[in-house]
Amino acid sequence: MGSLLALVHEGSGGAAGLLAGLSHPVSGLDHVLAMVAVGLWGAQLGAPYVWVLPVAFPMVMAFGGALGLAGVAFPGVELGIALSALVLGAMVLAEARPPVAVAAFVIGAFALFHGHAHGTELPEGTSGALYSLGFVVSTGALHATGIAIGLLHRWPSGRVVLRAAGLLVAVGGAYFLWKALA
Amino acid sequence: MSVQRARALCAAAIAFLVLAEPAYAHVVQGGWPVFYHGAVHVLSTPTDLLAALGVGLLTGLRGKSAARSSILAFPLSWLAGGLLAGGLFGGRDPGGIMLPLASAVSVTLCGLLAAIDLRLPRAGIMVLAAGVGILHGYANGATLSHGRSVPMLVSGAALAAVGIAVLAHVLVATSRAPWQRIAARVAGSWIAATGLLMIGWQARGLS
Repeated sequence: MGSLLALVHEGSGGAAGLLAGLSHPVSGLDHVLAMVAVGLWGAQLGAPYVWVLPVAFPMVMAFGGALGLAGVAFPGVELGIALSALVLGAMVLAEARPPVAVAAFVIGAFALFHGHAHGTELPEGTSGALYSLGFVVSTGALHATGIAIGLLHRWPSGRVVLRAAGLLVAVGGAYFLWKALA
Repeated sequence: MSVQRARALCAAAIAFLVLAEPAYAHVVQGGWPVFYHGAVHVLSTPTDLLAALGVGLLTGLRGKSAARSSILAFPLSWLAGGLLAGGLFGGRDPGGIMLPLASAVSVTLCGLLAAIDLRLPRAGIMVLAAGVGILHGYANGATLSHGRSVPMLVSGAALAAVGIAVLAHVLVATSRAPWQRIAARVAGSWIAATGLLMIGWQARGLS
């Protein structure tokens, strides 16, 4: 995606913006768990979800991010993020196969929450374009990680490992939900 | 040259751009000719780079016939946009958010169309490529010249832009495995997502 190191042409916040964007999605365990779980669940569901999710999720999340940047309020963002890890982890644990519309709604709703949170957490003095680019690339990498792990689904023992991973994600989500409610 | 070799060369060219050494932000101060200043600007500016990549992905997903109609339309319209800006504003930045916002919208549109793999007709892709080219060329001509030669500056930018688009097109159009086409669509979604966030940035500036 271009001369990453050379993209300091974007003004004084150039390199800082790119690095900030790359690091932000991985700076919070709640975000990491949910993003990886999206990939895990997509791999479990198989085609077309395994590629529809990584195509659609970044755009929906970015829409949420744009809303956050624009100052549009979203109620219960932290609650939504915590819930996303819990629900997505539970989906992976249960090997749930809801109707397409339900899966799309669940993923889309959580994508909006995550995006909005990222949009409002932007550090001052960073380059918007580079931050956006780094943020999207980093999120996509997390999805790819989840999908790569999700390939274990092909083997019976791999399916057990995936469900265990889903349990871990769900437990993490429950913890963050408890923190958000406390 | 075999298809695999061509794909490997294109991938290496893109990797070269990714791993480029840190560049000075204002190369003109190092004595580079204006032409190269325009070219380097495209390579080092996310909006221009992503727009060119988006056009390349789109034509790649639609195949060689789409590229034939766009290969000239894209750079020529970029050049025309730059000359228009040079004539209207004498190479001065008009200010405001319209140009950055329109650039972000164009990036989003190109990425979105690639992500959903919309089967646009050849003429539609050509019109889209020309529209993107005019807009970004106009932005280059209006904001970059600072008294330098607009035709030379925008020529360099247009050449760099079409080069990036052609590289991306070749990588996608020569792909055979289904996952490669999906990867192109994922790349389109990333471009669209980046564009959406940039639109949000412009909105943030207004609020």
